[in-house]
This record gives sequence, C-alpha cells and structure tokens, in this order.
Amino acid sequence: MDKLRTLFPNDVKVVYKNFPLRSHKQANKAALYAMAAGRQGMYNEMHHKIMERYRELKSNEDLPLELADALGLDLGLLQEDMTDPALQQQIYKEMNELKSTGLRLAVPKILINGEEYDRKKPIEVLVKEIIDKAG
Amino acid sequence: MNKGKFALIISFTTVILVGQALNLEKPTERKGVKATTADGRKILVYSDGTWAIAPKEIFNIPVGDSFYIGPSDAKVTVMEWMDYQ
Repeated sequence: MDKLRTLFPNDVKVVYKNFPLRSHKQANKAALYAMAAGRQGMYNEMHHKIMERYRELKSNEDLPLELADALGLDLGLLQEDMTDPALQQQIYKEMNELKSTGLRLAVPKILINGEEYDRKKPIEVLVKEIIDKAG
Repeated sequence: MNKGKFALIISFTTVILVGQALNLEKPTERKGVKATTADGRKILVYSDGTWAIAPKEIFNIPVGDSFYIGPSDAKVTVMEWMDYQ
C-alpha cells in the first residue's frame, strides 16, 4: 500500500478497514490501539509499527503501548480512548461491511474501486491501468 | 477356445486399435458444477442451457469513519480489510 501511495500520490487513496479474525486473539486489541492512536493523529504510524512487529503480539498483546510510547503519544489518553465503545463499534461496522459483500471472509481482502482484487497482476500495474483509463 | 469367444476378443482388439489409430480422445469427465470461477465470478446458466461468466461485481462500500490516506477525490480507491496477526 505504501508503494502505491509513493507511486501515485495524487491518484490513489488507501482506506484501512479492520477485520480482526477470531483466531487471532490479539488482533482486535491491536486494532483498537491503532484507532486510538488515530485520535492523536498517528493512525498510520501506529499501523505500520504494529505491522512491522505483529508476530510479537502473540506473546505481548500490549506491545502497541510500547510502540505508542516510542511514537511520543499520550499513553493515558490512548488507554482512555481504547475503552471508548465507539471504537469497537467502528470495528464491528467495518467487519459487517466486508460480510455484506458476500465475498470470502479472508484477510487481507482488497477492493479496488469497489472490485475485488484477484491478484492476477501486480497491484501497481492494475492501479496504473485504471488511472490511465480514467485519463 | 470356441469361435464365439475368439470373435469377441478380435472385436474388442479391433475397436481399441482403431480408436488409437484415429487418436480418439476420451471425453473429459465433469465432476460437479462450480457456481463460480476461480476468480470469484458467478457462472450464469440460462434456461436454454447456455451459460456465461457474470461481470465482476462492484461493491459500493463507503469510506465512512475508516482511516484513509490520500486525496479524498482520488481516481483510485484501494480498500483493504486486514488484521494485525
């Protein structure tokens, strides 16, 4: 996704939707941390930091707290925001959006201009084709 | 070996040899009917027995309150559902 934003900064918008799988017990909490960081304007940074070290979540579900500290976030506010039911509701809403498509519930799942990305060609090639077609 | 058995063996052998000579292909066995193609498109079957692959579906999912980066009026919107593990 970063590559797309670098290649086509004016033509591509990347939207992140959460779909924490039940089998990944720490995923929902990590999503809440990222969203809470977003309230301090650091969603993207937190998202990337968690993604870089997602394997460590299994043994340390509060790893995002350490990452937030390193990012200079207000940890008290972050933990307070974590408990806001609105964030969990947002996650449920995003999950239901994927369910509403009737597509196979596997992540990562990508839609490009509403169409499921089938991975038949590199995403940057497909996106460039769409941009060129749009003129 | 009686004449009847001999004739039967000769007949089978002839059929096999002629089939091979004509390079007859065994028809492909169709096991079940898939509702979708490998890339997820629906297969439409009409009453006259003809069929077609449906065009890809376009899902109109709003950005809503989800986090996004990039211009709001971008030509391409890439929407990704993910989890952190």
